[in-house]
Amino acid sequence: MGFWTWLNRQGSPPRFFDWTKHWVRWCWYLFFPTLLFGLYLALLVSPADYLQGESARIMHVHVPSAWMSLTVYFIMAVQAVGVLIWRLKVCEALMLAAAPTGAMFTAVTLLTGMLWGRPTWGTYWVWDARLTSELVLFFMYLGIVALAQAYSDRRAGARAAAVLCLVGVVQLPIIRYSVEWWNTLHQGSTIRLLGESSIHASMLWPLLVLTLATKLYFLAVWLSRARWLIVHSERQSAWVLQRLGLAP
Amino acid sequence: MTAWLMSFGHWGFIVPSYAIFLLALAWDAGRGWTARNAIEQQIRAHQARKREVE
Repeated sequence: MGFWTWLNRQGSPPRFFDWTKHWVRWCWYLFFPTLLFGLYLALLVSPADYLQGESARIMHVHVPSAWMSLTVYFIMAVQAVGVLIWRLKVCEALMLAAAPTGAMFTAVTLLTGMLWGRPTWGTYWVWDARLTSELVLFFMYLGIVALAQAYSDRRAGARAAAVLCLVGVVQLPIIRYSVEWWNTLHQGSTIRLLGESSIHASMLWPLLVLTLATKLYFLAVWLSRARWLIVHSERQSAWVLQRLGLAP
Repeated sequence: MTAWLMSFGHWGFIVPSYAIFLLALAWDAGRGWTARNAIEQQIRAHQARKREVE
């Protein structure tokens, strides 16, 4: 069996509903200890920054949320391709299920950034490239959710939202490179996948553990929400009634 | 508000940041759970009505 055949089978609504059940459960099981360990490292183990003092601890929730705001959007864009080209129901559900959580992470990024900015920069907000582009991303998320719900035909709404989602992809490199392309108050990247990071390991580990926690959280909430969006769209199907114990 | 937060030093900004983070996760997960229950109840109610009619 080829990869595409296998992928196509996993993407059928009943199969997706079944295999994601275990994923959701395990993501929740792993999320709680990871979150607690991350909070322990961030609040009790990680040292205060020599320049920013204790307020540098805000980074441990701000940065993972910011990464998630971009990651979730990228995942939605990948699903949007599936919605527009192959018109897969599972892709529609996965794209729409990700949007509220992406909006939530973007809002957390903006709010925690403001709370970090006040003691560090002396202001909650400046209209610099990084902050403004992240705010635009938040509005993109809200727009996608609103557009999908504006249609009485759920599938037409998903397709319109997918188009908007793909248009908004241009926002991702702008946010990522805004601190390099423009002269911003927001600091440049301290963590690099390629090249040396300019953050000490004692501060990097809490960040990485809380990043893992946010990813586990997203997987659990995202897959769970997608499963039930599929159930809702297939509510007349025999497999749904069978899974809910309602089959005659 | 800012003066009150600043009276606690840096922790006046750290505690709200972590509270926002945790509450947002709980709120989002709670919304998902509520929606899931609503869908399940809707389907069960619909099937119950259908059986009554039949």
